[in-house]
Amino acid sequence: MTRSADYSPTGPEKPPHQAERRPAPRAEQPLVSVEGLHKSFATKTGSGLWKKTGWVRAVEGVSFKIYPGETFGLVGESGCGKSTTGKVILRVLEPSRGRVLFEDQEVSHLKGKGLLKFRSQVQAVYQDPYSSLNPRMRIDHSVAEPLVTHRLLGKEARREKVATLMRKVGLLPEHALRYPHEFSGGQRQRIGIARALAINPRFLVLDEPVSALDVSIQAQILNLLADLQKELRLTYLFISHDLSVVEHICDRVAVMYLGKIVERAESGSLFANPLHPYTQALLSAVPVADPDHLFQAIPLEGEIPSPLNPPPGCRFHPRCPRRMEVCQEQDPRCLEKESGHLVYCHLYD
Amino acid sequence: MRRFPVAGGGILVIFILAALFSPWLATHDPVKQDLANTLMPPAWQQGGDASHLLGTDNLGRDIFSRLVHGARVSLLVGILAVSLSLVVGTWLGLLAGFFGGRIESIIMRLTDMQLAMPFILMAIAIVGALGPSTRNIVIVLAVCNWATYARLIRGEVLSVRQNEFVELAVVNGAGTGRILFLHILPNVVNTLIVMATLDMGRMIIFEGAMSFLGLGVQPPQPSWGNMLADGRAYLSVAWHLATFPGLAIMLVVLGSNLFGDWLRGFLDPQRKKFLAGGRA
Amino acid sequence: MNRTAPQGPDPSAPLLQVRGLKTHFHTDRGVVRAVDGVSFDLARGEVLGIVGESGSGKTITSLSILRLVPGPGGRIEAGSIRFKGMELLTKSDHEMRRLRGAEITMIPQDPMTSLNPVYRIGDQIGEPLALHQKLKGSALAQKVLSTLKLVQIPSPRRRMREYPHQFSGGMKQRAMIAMCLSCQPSLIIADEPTTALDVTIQAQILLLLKGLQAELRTGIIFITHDLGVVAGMCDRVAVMYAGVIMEQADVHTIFKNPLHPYTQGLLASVPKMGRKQGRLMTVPGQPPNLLNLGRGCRFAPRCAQAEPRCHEEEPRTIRVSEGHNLRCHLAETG
Repeated sequence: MTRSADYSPTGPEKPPHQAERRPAPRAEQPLVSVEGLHKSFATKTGSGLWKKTGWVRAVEGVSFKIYPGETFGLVGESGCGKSTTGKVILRVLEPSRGRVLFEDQEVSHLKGKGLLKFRSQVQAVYQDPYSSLNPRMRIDHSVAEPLVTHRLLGKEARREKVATLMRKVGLLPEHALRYPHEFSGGQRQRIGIARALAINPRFLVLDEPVSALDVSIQAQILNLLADLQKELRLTYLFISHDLSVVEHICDRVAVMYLGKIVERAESGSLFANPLHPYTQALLSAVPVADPDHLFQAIPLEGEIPSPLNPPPGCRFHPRCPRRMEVCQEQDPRCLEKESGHLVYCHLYD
Repeated sequence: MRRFPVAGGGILVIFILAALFSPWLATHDPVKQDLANTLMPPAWQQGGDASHLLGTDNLGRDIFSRLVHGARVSLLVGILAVSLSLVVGTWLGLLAGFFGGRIESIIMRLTDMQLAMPFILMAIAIVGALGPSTRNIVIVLAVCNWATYARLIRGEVLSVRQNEFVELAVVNGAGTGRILFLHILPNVVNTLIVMATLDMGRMIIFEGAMSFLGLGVQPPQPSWGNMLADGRAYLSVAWHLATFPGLAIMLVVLGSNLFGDWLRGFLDPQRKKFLAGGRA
Repeated sequence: MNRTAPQGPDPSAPLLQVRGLKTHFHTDRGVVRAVDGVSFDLARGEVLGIVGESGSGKTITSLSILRLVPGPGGRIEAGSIRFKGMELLTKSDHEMRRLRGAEITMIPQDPMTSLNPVYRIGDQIGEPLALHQKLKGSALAQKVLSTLKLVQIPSPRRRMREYPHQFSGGMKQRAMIAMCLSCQPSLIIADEPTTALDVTIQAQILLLLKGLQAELRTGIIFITHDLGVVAGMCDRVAVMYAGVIMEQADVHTIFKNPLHPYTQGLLASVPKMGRKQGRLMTVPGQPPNLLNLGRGCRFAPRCAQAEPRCHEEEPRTIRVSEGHNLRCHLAETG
């Protein structure tokens, strides 16, 4: 992860063009709505007679909306709860409190047929290409799995669909008869994407889909995701810790810290004008691929605290270079500084 | 690692063929007594005879024929016992590893209990209740052995579950059954197979022990175990009664162990180290 | 990590001189030429970045310097590695052990697994001191304490007695750095030391490393795939691909005037912050199969500028200008 300096290649590739900036469509109905989401996990701490049940408060009171056709980014470091949020939206986990709405229907506690229908609309691509595919299953069976579980299409039709999908993600359909270990990391991610698209979902949760890939392959996969989004009119939730990638591909971004959203804005706004001290520190910490750039990371004291025992008041206050008295006592509320730019910080209150 | 399991496989094949073709291989009727010719030494020793290749036992029965017929029983019991304990153990291990929680606790306590029970005690109890027969030997062996599989499979399942493809299968709409049988089971099968081949040897030894104690195959039906038992009394005068069945047991155990070792290497998907995309 | 007037590395004899290093792995499926003719120098107090993707050979290069090439089948086939004028490839095992941990140390990639979970941090940091400098008792404890302070671990006296699981990722990496610095080595090999860390923690560690390096004038070989880290930390950069160095120059030249198509491709693949782009430039294709390299330039199958000659003949490394080496046919024609 890195920020590139002003470099233009001399290769015969197409020159980069300015991306179309889609204004956040407020009038539209959100596709996905997360309201007051909480998720905690029980853990046993201590040993022997001194065992206690602790609660890991992975996600605390997270709310946001994702609109059709956009790419919504969820950014943060380890322990911030972004992956957990993704899993709750996917209904791999159930929320402890709060709701998740998809197309205006609550999905937080769906079961049976309703859940299956939801799954036909919402799919996922995960981080590790080496464990995302069942090593004992042929690629074509893996890719066709969503079709099988949803009982769609006969055998012949499925085979055709798999071939189409393989081509769509840039792989040769003949290779569908192979096993995962015969493919490289980048190719496996493509297969994972093909599988996610098999039942024509509307919404994809992408949990660090390129973080485990080499830089040059990352770029390929990001381009592929962008192309597919345009062609198939998909909506993405893009979870990542890599800020430059997030800025590149996301329309709106929310920054998470220790289970809470600290700032949320359109991508351009957030990166040009970060308001929350954590966002500022985060952005300043990303190394820039330019030897002349003065690397001035805003120093943050200490380590990221454990989600078992988050600090009182504003969770960021122990490390915040601009903390005030009130930060230790009260949780900051949500403030809208400019249109669409939300920040959770006492500094702006 | 060789391409083909020459040593282990070879030995096993020989014994399996011997067991299958025993009626034709045997030179004599294994239960026919010949009291005139008891305790004849093997053919190459003084006093021996080519007609009785490995000699005769205390009732004049041909050792070679009894050995070959005994192979049937021992191998059959071995295979059945392994299969039964494998099926029961794997099933319970899958459930324990996948569902966790209370189900896992219950199953694990059951395995603890089984592992704590001494084999001999169980054997005596079960045979005492149900009577000695080949079927009951298999039951005893399976009851005393399933826990090893359950433990092993549970551990493997816990590890396989960490892979992202399991969670993604849920996202793809797969139900529990599909996940267990199409995703988890195929990935633990490796360990299973290896464990089973190694177990074969153990089961045959245990069958031998049971027969030795009179709890197993009943005379005059020969099994390697009861041949050992009978031969024990005559060790000082006729070494060949006990030695050949003992040797047979040892060879089969050796063969299945070697085969199991080879199989483990063969099934190990460690090919990916330096192929395209491997880390340098 | 400000770029102040560069004090420049010591112009006299280089600390490390690697020439024509070849490390191959003999496997059932053939020979994997993981490092296939690598040459570079490292001056005292200089930071050299080795950049590359999977399969480039960067880690194996560093392991070769330490003579820790993993078996079975791994062997240094050819070349020379001179450290402070001494040839390392002919040294005995015993002599190498005297160097490792004392003169040449390594910061490994994954802090989570590099520390032994059953020994206290203080004991582990003290191990090289005890082994190489034969320190014991309170002298040892004092030295350990001072190294912990050097890496800015708070409450070092208490932390010394703790176990690795009580340390966070960033702290573990600091502990590893402490271990590496304890005997004041002349050369540190840092193999992706911050890849597994969060961004803000990475910034702290990089700042620490840079400061310590400047203060102690240690030579560092910094292995990474992250170009931003390279730009901030390194004086010179070597770009590796499929076992060879494709381009080598000082950091400014690499970023402002890269000549090799692979270097150019890498730089272009990275999303630029602050400017929106429609599509990222990519380097098409995959990294090559090291078992089956084929005839010409290793990068030719993926190179947008490849000519017929590139597929037939491997290019030699040429000196384009002072300190700038290039392994590409195109350079010859300009």
